[in-house]
Amino acid sequence: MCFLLIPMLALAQEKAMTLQPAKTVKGIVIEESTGEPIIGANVYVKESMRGEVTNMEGNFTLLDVKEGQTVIVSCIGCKDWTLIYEGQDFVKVNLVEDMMELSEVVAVGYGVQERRDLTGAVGKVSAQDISGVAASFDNAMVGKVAGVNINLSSGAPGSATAITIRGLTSLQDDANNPLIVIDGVPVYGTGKKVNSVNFGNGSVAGGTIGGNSVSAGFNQEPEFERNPLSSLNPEDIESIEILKDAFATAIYGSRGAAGVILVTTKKGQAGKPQIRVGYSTSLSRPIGTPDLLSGDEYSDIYTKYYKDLPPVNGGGEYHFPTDHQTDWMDEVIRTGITNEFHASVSGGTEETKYYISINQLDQQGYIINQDYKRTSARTNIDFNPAKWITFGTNTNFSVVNNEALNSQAVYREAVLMPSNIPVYKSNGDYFYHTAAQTNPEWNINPVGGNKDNPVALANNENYAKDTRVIGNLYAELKPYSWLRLKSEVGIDLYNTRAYNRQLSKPTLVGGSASESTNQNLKYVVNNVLSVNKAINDANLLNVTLGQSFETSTESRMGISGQGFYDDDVKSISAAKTQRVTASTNEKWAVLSYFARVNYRFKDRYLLGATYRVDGSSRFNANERYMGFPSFSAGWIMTEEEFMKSVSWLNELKLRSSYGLTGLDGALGYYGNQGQWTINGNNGGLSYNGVPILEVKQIPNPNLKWETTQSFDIGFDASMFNNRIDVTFDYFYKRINNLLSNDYVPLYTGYSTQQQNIGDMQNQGIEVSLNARIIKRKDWSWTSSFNLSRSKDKILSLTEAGFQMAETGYKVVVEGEGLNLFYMYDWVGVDPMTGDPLWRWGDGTVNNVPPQAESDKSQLANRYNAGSSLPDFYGGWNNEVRFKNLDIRFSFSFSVGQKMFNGSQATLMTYHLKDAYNLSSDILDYWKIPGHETDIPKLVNNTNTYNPYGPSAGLPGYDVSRMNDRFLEDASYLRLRNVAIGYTFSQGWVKKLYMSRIRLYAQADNLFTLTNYSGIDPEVNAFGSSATLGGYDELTLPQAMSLKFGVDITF
Amino acid sequence: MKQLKHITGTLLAAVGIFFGGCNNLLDIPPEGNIVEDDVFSKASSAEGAVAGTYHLLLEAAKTTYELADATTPMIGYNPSNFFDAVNNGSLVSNDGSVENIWEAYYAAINQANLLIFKIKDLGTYEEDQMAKHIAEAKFIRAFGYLNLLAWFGDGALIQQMDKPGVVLYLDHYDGYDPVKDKRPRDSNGVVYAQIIKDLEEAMPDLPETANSATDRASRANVAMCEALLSRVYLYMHDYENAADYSQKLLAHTEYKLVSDFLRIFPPNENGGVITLTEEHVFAFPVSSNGGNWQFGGNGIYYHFGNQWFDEDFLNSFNDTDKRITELTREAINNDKEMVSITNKFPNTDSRDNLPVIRLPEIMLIRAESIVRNSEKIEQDAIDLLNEVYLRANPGETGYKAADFTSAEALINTILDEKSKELIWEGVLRFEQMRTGRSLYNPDLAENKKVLPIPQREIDITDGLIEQNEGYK
Repeated sequence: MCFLLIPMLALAQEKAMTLQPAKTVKGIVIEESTGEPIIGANVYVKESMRGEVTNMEGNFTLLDVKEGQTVIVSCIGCKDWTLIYEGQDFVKVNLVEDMMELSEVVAVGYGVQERRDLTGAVGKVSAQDISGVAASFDNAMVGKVAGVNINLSSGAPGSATAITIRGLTSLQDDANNPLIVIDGVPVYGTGKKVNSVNFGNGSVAGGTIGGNSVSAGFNQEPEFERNPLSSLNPEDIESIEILKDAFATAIYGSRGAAGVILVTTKKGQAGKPQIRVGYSTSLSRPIGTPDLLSGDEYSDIYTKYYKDLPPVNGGGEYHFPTDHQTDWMDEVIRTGITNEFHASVSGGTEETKYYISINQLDQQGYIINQDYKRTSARTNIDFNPAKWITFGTNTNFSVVNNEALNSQAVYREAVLMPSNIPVYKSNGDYFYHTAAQTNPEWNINPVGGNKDNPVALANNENYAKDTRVIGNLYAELKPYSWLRLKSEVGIDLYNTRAYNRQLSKPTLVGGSASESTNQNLKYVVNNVLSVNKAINDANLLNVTLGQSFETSTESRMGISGQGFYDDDVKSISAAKTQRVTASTNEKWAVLSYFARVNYRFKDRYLLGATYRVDGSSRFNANERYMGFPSFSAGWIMTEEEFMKSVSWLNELKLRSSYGLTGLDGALGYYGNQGQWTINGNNGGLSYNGVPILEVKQIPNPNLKWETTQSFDIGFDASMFNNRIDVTFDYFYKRINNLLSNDYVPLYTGYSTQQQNIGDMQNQGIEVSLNARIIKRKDWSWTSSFNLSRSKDKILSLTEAGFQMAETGYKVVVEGEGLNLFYMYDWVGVDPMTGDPLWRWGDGTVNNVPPQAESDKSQLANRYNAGSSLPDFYGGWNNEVRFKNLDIRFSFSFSVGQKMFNGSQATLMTYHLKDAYNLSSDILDYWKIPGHETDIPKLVNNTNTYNPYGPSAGLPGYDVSRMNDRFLEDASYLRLRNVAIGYTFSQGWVKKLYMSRIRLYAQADNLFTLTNYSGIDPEVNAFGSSATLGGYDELTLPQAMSLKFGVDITF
Repeated sequence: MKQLKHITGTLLAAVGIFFGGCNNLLDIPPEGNIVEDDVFSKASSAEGAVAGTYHLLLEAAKTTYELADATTPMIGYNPSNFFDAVNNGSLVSNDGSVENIWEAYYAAINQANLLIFKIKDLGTYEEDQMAKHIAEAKFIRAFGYLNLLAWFGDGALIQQMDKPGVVLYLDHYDGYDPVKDKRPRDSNGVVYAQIIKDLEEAMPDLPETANSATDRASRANVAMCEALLSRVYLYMHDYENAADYSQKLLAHTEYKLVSDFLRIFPPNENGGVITLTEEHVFAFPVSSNGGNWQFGGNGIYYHFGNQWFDEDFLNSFNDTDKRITELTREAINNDKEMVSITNKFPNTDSRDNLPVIRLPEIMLIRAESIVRNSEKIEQDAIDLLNEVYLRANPGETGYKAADFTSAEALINTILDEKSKELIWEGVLRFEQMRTGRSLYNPDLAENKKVLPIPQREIDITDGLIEQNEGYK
């Protein structure tokens, strides 16, 4: 990509020109060494300042050129080309590569650095890699950068994404989410804490696993975790840098322990205004839906089951009617239509540069009445009144209205609704099924209690409206060419108002509503001094000194009400009963000082060091400041004399780094000190008239910092005329004093507390390959491939606490990896009896569920069935251009991770009184001796087995989330998107005052190769949490979509 | 350029000032919460913490209140997993309900520990008030340990003092330290000694009693300690001390039997605040807690009719016994049988006060102890027995020495009267156990008469904590 660089001083000279006959000049700009046309080179007449940019074939047409005038062609990375015009009709311009200019600049945190001199591991994604790909830039980054694993948790619009850089480094939920910095402002990033909207009734994401009830192991929580990154318009982004190793991240200290993502937005360039307008429309459907029982099949299965079930377990002659046949999936799924519009104008003079854009996204989810709307506007202005000073601002304002909060709940309920229940009563009202013993008017099935109506639920009013301003103001002084002083103030104002309504129904007369307001406000002040000085020819010193102060206030108010006299009355003040569900105001502040020194000797030897001191209000008062050092070294071998003979190698740089980062144990807001609070239950309890004070947080003075030492070694190579770039990294991380909520003896008065439970390591490799495979005038093919692997291992555990208090059914075992599913070994179904079989720890196989035994050691009969983390993952991205036609396609893959198919477990659970609809796979249940099948007989010894006698209900060990029965390999290869476009830049386009029109079509998630039997191998029932990943609990699958669009450049 | 240098200098100076001057920016106090150290420095917040500790004790008492009656032969109940498991001896060591009992009592005990340590260290209010708060904490701790011992101490109620009791954890918890916080169980004898020590240390700093009956029975005082000590010694089979301490309590003139049972256990349809009476020695004043059935109730749901009087036991009452005529009603159980259920806790939102020690218990402790000490038929004992008996049966003449053929027979009558008086009040299980009478299941093995120690405690201490014999 080239940029306009027009010296404005030239303007003054225009008047002096004498009149000459004007001619039209055509020409082509090519790169001398390769013969490749150069797209976007700036061609202009110096005297008139008129000009244009070369098109896709490198062609240009200049009007009104007079003899004697100067034609200049410029392009970043090339030396300027100048011609005194002598009346030619056609000009062929050969531009020569300028090695000095070519060097790519990379943002590195509080500054930039030339890629050539970089000694840390930094991945980069540029504008064209993400433009037009997805509504949120994080979604567009999947499979684009080595070492960055991005997992789209659900198909609900605006739902959270799990981003992990170089694997897990912590057992804490939110601690694996990278820091996200937009134009210098560390913003409210991914994480459940800040982004979850809890709304009492409907639901998405979020959930709990556990409890004693075996078969109903998953509990959908009324919570929606939003994606905070979706408020940014991807078209505004110039580049995204991912800081991966310790040298790169240490400048962010404790804030960067899980990696850093730096987002830089577009800036204006001096020259004629560039106007871009784009519009697209797309259609989406889920990539699949489960096969469910029809009304008749439903009736058959349940009638048979209850007939076979002994009366003592609740069996009997029940009749499940078949008067209605409802395809609930059909009722709630639609083809979602999404319209997106964006427009931007950028340009400016040497003194003032601007970039202004607006974007409107109107997305329909594929669940009925679930919509997502985003409007965002950006203003980036830089003002440069004198050589030594620059002011500027980058501001993004966005309004996101997410009316799709109920998507997950609607989908889940629609899947589970018995298909013999109608949507509407005969009078057109919604039908709500109630228990058999109650009102016959609202009852159909003899078993199956109160149910919601998913269609009604989808039509309930629910929204979360985010208004957000992310912006900064800066001033930069440059008193000497080698010295810069930059001060900036940044802000992230992130407010949300959420409302959710449940309409009146038989079990909830008058309906209910909940409303919450979250107000998050963050200020950042950065002061940075940088020195870039060459001391004679051999030494180059680059020093950054700075200070940063960041403070955030997060407040939350929640109210709920029940009993409205009319469904149209929205205000909770009109509800019969009202309750305050939340009222908190929490603050924190971080004060940091940092320094970075980079030294280059003789263009080939590189050394670097950083040090950052963080002080945080959240840290314990006696450990308020913590320092984080890092060191790095690099060697550009190709600069050495002995390498000059290797002509195919253009550049080879070896680099290595070592550093320390850390995570404070106090995840609460006010350190580890003990805290008490006044009892707030129902207006506050008292004891004999004295209001009760309760412990809110127990003190934890022994808690140590979780520290991560990271080592990285790698190389960057460029070969065969810079046509192939290879980057390789090996990293090793050692994490000591892992923090986790772990059990403490109950006789201490408490059950769990945050503890340092042990040490772990994480090591891996990353490879990225960029190849300009074909680079000709008419056609080109650029391809990039990346592959990452990270393998973690628990080195030691201080306690017997193999089962952490908050990791669902996953356990942590010394000597093994993280996120392990430790499960009971389900062998299958005995073809002779139809009973399920398990393999016990001692190798015996029988039909007694080991889970029913009271284990002395809870792991005795369980085995390591795999991890929810992949063995390796990556992507393959391609761009092919043939003349004006361009084709792009991207694959992403992930191999070796396990997924618990909780969807199937739920759809195989028929012994609950809910009598949910089931997977059509159930029809193959065991029928007669000799029948080989995976599905046990309906009434088998384990769903009626109960050590406590019949009154305790049926535990259903066959569908327990602790069996490996539904644990599957979720490896996949996905064609994430494929796009085909055609660019018009002929004369007729010019006549419309446009310079280019691109028409394109794009398909997303066209196909997925996987052995996973569920719908989507990529979902996560727990949103952004990587530690809780690996559960598909009827989680909304992603959408398959088809998009048509047009982009116009003026 | 000179000007430039000037600007640069100023800017650097400004940055320098900023660098130096923002330490206090990091001291952000929590809103809505009080830092622990502040809680104990002021009388008002320390008072709130003490109130909170009594509340934790109530929460603990709620976990066992019904179970202590449901495991005796005096009652019948609708099918219940937990009651069945305890009565059949089929409890497993990771039973969640057992864990709840253990956890709830230790929660109260450890908050009491915190008060004992922190008020001494951080308190800046009146010395007397501080001493009283610490003494109340010791009372709470003693009560908590006595209940833990009665439920978990192997043989604690049958004088097996050397067998393992429970873990004595008397430090204030200050973050988990795997080295110093892994503890074995202390013997029954050691735990009893600690209970007695706490109560004896508490008494000098506590008021004798209090003016209002509700204050008197809801916050610790000397009389309450004496009453609890008499129960402790009774459980230890130390009848000399039991007789002494019960006598001390009886010497306080504030305590009197209330003639009207409906004043002790009022109908309470609307769940209003109910005052305690002159015969309450220790009770949780639940009716004034605030909150509702969900938060702040007593957790007693006898009004549902899931537990009822055993027929034989019911027949042992006189027909006109007021405890039957005024405090029971009829109900239908799961097997469609007509049964009698208690009306002692009539409020359907569980908003009734929860009695723990009433005067009749102390009277009968005194009566039993003096007979056991002298091994004779004591008229003093018969008089105390009659006071309790005649209140419920005012038309009768009462027992006479001649009615008893032996001291043993008198003791049995005293024990029977105690069952009749205190049924549904969370103590009968221990009466049965300490006197060798049978529990609900007469065939239950002796070593299954305690609950198992929660398995997680054994796991987490690497086996330092021993399981009770019946569950090994």
